[in-house]
Amino acid sequence: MPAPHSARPDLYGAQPERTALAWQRSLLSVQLGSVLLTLTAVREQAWVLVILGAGLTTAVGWWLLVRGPARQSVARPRHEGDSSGRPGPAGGLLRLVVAVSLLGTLGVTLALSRAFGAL
Amino acid sequence: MPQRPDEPEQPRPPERSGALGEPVSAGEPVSADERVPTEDQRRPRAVYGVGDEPDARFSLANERTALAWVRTGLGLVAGGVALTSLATFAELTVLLDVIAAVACLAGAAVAGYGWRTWRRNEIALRTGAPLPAPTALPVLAGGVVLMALVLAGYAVVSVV
Repeated sequence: MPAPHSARPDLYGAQPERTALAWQRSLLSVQLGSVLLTLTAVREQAWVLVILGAGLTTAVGWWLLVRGPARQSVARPRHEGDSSGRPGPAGGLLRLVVAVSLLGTLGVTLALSRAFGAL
Repeated sequence: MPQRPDEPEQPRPPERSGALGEPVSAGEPVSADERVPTEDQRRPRAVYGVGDEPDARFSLANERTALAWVRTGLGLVAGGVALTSLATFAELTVLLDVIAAVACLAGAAVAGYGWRTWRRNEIALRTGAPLPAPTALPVLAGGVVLMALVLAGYAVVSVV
């Protein structure tokens, strides 16, 4: 049985599927975290955090389902001489870091608000 | 149509030929060796503007490493949110909320470090320089151990 590999012969050994799965795992983790935060905020009746958490959940879900980072990563040719106009991973990575930082900020807000009795 | 002498010559698209020198039709797939090198428009220019294109496998591995850092940060954030959720539902002490806040902050910092380390590694790959050391790794390990010890201490005190 042949080993699984990319459909593109020039990307043998590049393991783009593995990278695409790493993107999916990361996005799913962000979504799970934001769902957890939204549910906790609902329990605490912190409606601003509920709106922000739901917005983050929706945005990440849209990214996961509509934008299709997996397809982009698998199809993106990245070898010498053919990189014009094709995005590298920087934009996606930066957006992911911003999403995680936003989630962390919301978590800090929730925790400190509860700790100091603001909720 | 013949070109007038005062008109500048229009650039012609590069001609491709098959393996035996015959012209390639438009419907034929283009192999990797036949692609025409064009200007690199990827961002950030601070990364893609230096050095040479590395092997795609190394670049993809660097991307996965950065994603692993981001997921580690996300794990800290999710742990913090879960901790404050637990404290909310079970009406536990404020100490857990403080630990949760610290975990969330540390998670955001680790995610930011993931971005920074991707940039540094990609530049090193492109320029052929040695890869930078993962300086945050011992700090992260120490922080997780410290947090585990504090939580274990809290659990012991609560039971006793």
